[in-house]
Amino acid sequence: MTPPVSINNLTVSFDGTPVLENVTFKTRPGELTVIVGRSGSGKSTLLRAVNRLNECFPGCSTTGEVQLALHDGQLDVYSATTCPEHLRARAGMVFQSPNILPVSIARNMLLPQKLVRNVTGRSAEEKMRHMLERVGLLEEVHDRLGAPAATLSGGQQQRLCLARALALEPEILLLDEPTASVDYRSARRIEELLLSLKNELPMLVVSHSLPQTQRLADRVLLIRKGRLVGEWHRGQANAEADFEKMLSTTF
Amino acid sequence: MTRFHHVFSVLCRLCALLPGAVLLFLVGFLLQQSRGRLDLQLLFGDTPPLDALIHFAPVWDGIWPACFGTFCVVALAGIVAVPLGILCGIHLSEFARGRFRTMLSFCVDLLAGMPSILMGLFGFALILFLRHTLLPDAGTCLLLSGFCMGLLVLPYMVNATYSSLSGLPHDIRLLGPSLGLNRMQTIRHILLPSAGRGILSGLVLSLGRAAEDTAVIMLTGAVANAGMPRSLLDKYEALPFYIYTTAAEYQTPEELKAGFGAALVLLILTTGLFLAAHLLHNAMERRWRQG
Ligand SMILES: Nc1ncnc2c1ncn2[C@@H]1O[C@H](COP(=O)(O)OP(=O)(O)O)[C@@H](O)[C@H]1O
Ligand SMILES: [Mg+2]
Repeated sequence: MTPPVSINNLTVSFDGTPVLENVTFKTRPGELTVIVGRSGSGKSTLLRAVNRLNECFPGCSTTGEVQLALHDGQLDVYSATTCPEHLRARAGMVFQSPNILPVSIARNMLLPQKLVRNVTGRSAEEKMRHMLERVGLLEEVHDRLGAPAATLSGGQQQRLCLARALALEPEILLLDEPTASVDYRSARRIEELLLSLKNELPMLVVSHSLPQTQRLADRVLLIRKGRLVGEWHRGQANAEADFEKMLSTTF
Repeated sequence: MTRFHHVFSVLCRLCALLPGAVLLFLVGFLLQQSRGRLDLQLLFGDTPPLDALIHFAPVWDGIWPACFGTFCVVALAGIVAVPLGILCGIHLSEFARGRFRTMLSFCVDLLAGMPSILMGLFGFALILFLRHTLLPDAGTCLLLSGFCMGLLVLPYMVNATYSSLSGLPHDIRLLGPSLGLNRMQTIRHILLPSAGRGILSGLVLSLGRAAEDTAVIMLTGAVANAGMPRSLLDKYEALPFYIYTTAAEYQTPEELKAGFGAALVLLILTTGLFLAAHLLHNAMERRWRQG
């Protein structure tokens, strides 16, 4: 089986200072991969390297290889022929703090569908309802889809962001501490959704919490100061003890 | 410490009231000074207003031609400065990098600090140049004034666009690309609407400046008693110029009153323009927010 994400010798620098160095790993189909590490260790940078979002910062340079297994074959992310917009449209991303557009709830869902997928009208609305349902938001907001998204709570906003990303039918999902700034209920709801998605959608999740990592992860990557210093897998011998040992110094 | 806070907050409140107080005083003063002269006669003289408005009947002894001239100058300046300024601001904020950006924005700042009399001289020199080269018949006119006024307020539009775009938080900048929008889509559908309020305040500043400036129009085509301009290439009258000449050369108290009345009309005209800009912005924002 081809790995959904395979990263080889990835090095990312900002203004000449390396932030990630020689990171190499592969994920497996059907597994949920969680990336952990102290704040500032380079987790977000690693996620952004997968959809080439680091390039939006001036002074960033990336070397190494990132390969994604998509429906129509292998995509070499950093090849000269890869169009970043095309890549990003297929790799959904959810940020650490809810990143809503300052527009209505419905428009948050519909505008990207129109611009990225060219889906409008009924089918876009249906998709919107379906995805809001999926993140458990529909019953909370069905009667105020025209209200500003900023009136939602942080947890609801984050679920809206997740629904927005899913509505674009991504082939891989990148989540940067998706529950770091949300209430407990929303966090659990998001976790359940991720677990239910993991067989159809490869995911890289950065997590800030040990219990969450325990609940979600089939595979854990530990980053320290820009280097991959530990890798854990649910199926390995002594899994539980090793998990404790590896993460005892991280959280 | 609490005492200091108290004094500070009172001071802030007083300062916040200051602009309103100044405005009230000014309007009151103008109303008082122009009392008895504020009527349709001030605008249209002895010409029936409808004739003047609809049939462009000539107006003597009224400031209607000056209102119209000022309106045209402001509109032309807007046509020049708004698109150019927004495009230039977008370039500075989103595309230009490093030394080139520093240099460009330095030029914009220089232009912003340029006295308007220099812009007037520039227009005048431009006409002289055109006369000696391509267009022997060229003369100062409405079009030239509008163009020069556009250049005068261009840096306000550039800086308003530039600073409100580059002041947007990082998250909202990354949002478009992370969804797969291309650069133009991100700018058009996310960044520009988010920066709308800042751009609007640049527009209001520009309109006000274009309506008020006298030095530019004096050297580029405004004359007293020109009447209504028949084309963009004609001479014209303008309110600030009218106020200026009246204040300098009035012969009777009635004339001075008319000058104060004209100042009030100028204030009303610019307020109307600001209102129109606000309404336009609100409509655009509503469309963006609701789809
Ligand atoms: N756009 C940027 N420009 C310069 N340095 C950056 C940028 N983004 C991240 N960094 C640096 O890279 C390091 C890792 O950041 P990040 O990936 O956000 O860490 P984490 O997500 O693990 O907290 C930090 O030291 C940070 O200062
Ligand atoms: Mg981070």
